[in-house]
Amino acid sequence: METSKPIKKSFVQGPISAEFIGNSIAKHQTKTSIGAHNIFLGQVRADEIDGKTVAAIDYSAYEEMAEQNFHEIREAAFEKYDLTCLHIYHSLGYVKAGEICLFVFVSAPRRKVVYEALNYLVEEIKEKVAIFGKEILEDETYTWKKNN
Amino acid sequence: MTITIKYFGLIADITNASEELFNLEKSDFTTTDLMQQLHEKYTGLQNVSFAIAVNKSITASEINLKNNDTIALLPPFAGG
Repeated sequence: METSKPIKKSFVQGPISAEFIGNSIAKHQTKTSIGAHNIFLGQVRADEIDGKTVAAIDYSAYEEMAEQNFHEIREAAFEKYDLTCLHIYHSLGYVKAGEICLFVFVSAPRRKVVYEALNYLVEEIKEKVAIFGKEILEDETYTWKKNN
Repeated sequence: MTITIKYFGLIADITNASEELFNLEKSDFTTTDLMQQLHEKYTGLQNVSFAIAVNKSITASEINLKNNDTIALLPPFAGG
């Protein structure tokens, strides 16, 4: 009998650490049908806005809607590509320039689909998930970030 | 009927609130009626672009609102 899987949580508080990413890779060593992984890491860039440098991004979201958006994107990717598993993590709260705010991890038996699936996932996340970014400038003023 | 309006990001800066309840006498009330009221209440909304979500689904067309609906005003997304 098919049971529906619980919706996985994608949001994490604060930056995503290198340890977290490393552990996530290590956890897949028992899944030996996998032949290829691909990883996207989004890092907060110290953009210059009107002569001031971005020091951090304070992320917020319409969480209930965004978790649903992540779930739909995840399901669509499984439908479209032959994947063994995939994971999406996005920061909420304060993430300093140079720190990681998005971690997308796809795994499949063979390599070709992981490139396509990863690209698809990142583009979908940027376009469809209700996440907002307050760019905190070095003088503690701020501006709201917009994805292109 | 009672509806909940949620504000995020730049929009919450303009409304100075993240959420408010609207109690309405009438039963026929659409998203367009709501936007008209919100624009009167918060004139700053005229200068910004946002999407409207009714019960967590983004909608571009006019929708009849029901009791207990949740409407969200969503400024441009910035994930990633």
